[in-house]
Amino acid sequence: MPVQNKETMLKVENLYKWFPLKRTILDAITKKPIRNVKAVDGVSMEIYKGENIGLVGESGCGKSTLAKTIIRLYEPTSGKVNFKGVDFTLLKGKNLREKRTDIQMIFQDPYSSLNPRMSIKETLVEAIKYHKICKDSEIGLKVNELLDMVSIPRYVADRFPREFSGGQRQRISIARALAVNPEFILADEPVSSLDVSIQMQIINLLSDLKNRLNLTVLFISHNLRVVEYITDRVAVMYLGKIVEIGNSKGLFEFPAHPYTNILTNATPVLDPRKKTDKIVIEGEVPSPLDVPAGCRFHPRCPFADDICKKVEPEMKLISKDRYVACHKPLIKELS
Amino acid sequence: MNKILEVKNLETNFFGKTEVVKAVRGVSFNIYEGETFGLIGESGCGKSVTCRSILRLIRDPGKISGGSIIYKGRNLLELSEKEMTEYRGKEIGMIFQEPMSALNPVLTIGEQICEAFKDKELTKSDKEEKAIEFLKIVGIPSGRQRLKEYPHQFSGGMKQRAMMAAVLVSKPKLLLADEPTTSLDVTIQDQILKLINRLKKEFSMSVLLVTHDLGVVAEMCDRVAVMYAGKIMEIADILTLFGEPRHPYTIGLSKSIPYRGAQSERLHPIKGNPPDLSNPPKGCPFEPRCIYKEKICEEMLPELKEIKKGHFSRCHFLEKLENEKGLIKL
Amino acid sequence: MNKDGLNNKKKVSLFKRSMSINIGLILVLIMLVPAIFPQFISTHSYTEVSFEEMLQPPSSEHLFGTDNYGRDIFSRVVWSTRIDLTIGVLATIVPFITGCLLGLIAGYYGGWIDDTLMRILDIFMALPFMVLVIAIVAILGPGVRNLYIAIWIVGWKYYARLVRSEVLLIKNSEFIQAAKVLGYSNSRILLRHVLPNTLSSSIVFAASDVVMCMLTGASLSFLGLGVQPPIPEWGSIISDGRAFISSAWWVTVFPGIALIILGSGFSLIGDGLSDILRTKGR
Repeated sequence: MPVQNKETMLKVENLYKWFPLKRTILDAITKKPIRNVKAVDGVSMEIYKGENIGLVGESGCGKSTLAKTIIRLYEPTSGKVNFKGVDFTLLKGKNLREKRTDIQMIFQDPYSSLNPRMSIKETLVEAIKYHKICKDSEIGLKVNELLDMVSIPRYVADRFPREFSGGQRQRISIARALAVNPEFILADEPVSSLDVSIQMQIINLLSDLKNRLNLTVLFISHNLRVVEYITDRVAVMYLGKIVEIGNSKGLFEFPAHPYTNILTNATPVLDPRKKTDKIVIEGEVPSPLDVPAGCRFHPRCPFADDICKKVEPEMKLISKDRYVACHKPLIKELS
Repeated sequence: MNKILEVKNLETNFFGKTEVVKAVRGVSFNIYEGETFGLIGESGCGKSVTCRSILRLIRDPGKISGGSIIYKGRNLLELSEKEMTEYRGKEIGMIFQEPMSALNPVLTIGEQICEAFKDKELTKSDKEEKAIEFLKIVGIPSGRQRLKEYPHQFSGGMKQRAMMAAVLVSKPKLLLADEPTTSLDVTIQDQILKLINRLKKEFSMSVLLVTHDLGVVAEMCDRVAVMYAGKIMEIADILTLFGEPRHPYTIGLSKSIPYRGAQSERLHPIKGNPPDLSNPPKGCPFEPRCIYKEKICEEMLPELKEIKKGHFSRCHFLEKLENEKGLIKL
Repeated sequence: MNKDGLNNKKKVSLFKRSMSINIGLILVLIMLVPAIFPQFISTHSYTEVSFEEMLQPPSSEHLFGTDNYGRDIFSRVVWSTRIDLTIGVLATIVPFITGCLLGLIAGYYGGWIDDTLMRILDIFMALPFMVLVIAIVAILGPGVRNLYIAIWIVGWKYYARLVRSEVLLIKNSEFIQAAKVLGYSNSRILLRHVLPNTLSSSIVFAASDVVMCMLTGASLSFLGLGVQPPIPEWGSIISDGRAFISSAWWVTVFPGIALIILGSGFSLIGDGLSDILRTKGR
């Protein structure tokens, strides 16, 4: 469901997250420059209230790091995260802890995202009690409500995570995130570790909950088909930067950035009649330690020009809903 | 077409302290020369165990408890361990999902590839030259330099290529690929899958491809067997599997996978969870999740029946499935 | 899979899981009896000397025989149980608590706290446990109190190491990240989420540590540096009997057997705990 009125919920402004490499003492003495893993290297984006926006890219592109920096599991190297008018990166201590209930996260690995020594009930009650979500007398009701929302039977609440399957644990993680009444959910590869037949259950669940509870969702995944299905808009990341943002349907069908085009072509089609022998792209993504100059995709881009090697392209609006950072986009203008 | 591998009623179990997990419960299929045969299913369905059983790579507490695996006329399960080494890594090669755990971290890539040369007459430098050739074949240039490097210096895709080079050294006739691209990015997966296809032609190999990804299957396979809970549910050629699937599980999967253009629809997942193989049901294992089920499904396991030539399905109510659509329109 | 769709991993009772813990517990429980009720079990006073009955072999009157002062060995062994058991347990508990806390904080916070701890740990690790303990007792003077102090100063190193490695393993786990995202304070995360998941190896170690502390106490008493007379202690009884091993074996053997029984009991408990805690994890 596309967003009706575009009210900004989250605005990321020039966000950087660099991880410095540890130097040896010798390096420090010889004043060798510190090398950084530039996981997030200048990302700006706006997320609107009520939308489900996807974030895609291959490993090393920085999508997970971006999510964890937004939610302050990592401290940003520089840049701002503006959440509903407040600079989230500046909050401290008690203020931060209170504001945290507005943004919650769902993690990738259902087998390590629940405390193995706490029962489901204890996990949920802890969240509810800590943030005083409701009166003590109503906690039981709230727990039942949460379990119902994610279709976990009420009577298993006293059991421990090891007794549940991957899909069930993921549902419980969702319930925990929802326990504190968030407005914004960051879902970091929420279905990638699940069996195919379970994935759609969780995808539909997330979709339903989003609609019911008026949530805004950032859905991170490397699976383009899933992202195309569930999201309204999508951002494509490469080597720490966003290279294209647009409406999901249009973006995958008519990609403007050569990398987006490559990603969509590399995804196997569910049609055995459409096979090719031609490799979509050679080589691998360079290391975020040594980001190429100019457009970071230029060494692998079939259309790279001189300007691409020297000048980093800016994010430009090429149509009503499409932004692309490319000197030679595949599409100049969309009608 | 000649059969290169015939698996009959394979049974592999894992004996735990308190329970026995019946991972493979009577699996039968054939692989013909020159084809890529897919084995698709989800985690726990037994596809990986089946693959490893073929090369008798099952160790305590696992045990191949029954059936036969006939490769070019010989039953591999009847061979001694010594005789088996003639096949393993020679006639039959295998590549794995996690190349990091398949490669020895303390040996250089060169040492590991050279180890695969079983011809005792080759000198060390001969072996190295050949290894460099094979690295080139799998798309790793600057082989001389690469031979001296260790696995951790290689990226995921390159490790997979290196593993393939080591396997190809003995020019196997059958390549077992156990989820070779599951942990790789989509662009690297594309490279590796197409590499496998190219090598298949160059070396005249047959391939058994184990995967959970229907997209990979569409890209690579000629025929496919769908596994669930340790048993085969459906076998078909690739077009039939995508165009006219005839098993509730296959159909369920087809309906729950997002495809291009699915955005406007709402897809329907298969409800429920995969079964517990320490206590397999006596009837059809898919019954709890099946929308076509009836009482008999819980009580009696259906047989694998031939619907038309080469198309088999294990279901009591095949007639209910006749109007179901697949992922493509034939 | 039953109808709730849960993995009903058969709920095997804790005690059926491991034979070791059963046997271990039985042995320890047996020894608890003389520890708690020595007055009801012992046949004589443990200090009463009797020059007519010196070095008598085991008999119906003196079950374990007598020592060179005519004291009843059986009663002395019985009364020592409490001492040795207390030494074992008390000497273990304090390092357990301090070591685990230090390991927890160092592992979780990292940075200079961790670096400092690791350097201190390196120093302690380089010096053998016994050597340090004896040295400290030698400096402070013999006696049970100094024995405790010495073990408390040295014994924490194992726990700090164990807990720290476990903390490093899980501190970046997703459920810890989730706890941070939920806004829980660091102390809550440490105590409620990190600690319970990092204690298993320490608990197992503690069981065998009890044995080690008991033996340390016995060894030091054997050397005259630990429990001082007239309080009986297995180590000192054994020491007393050194001179008469060939002529009066019963003086050294019976306290030795008692040590073995109690020590094995705790070792087996540790073994059993290791089995149980390992399978409980995932």
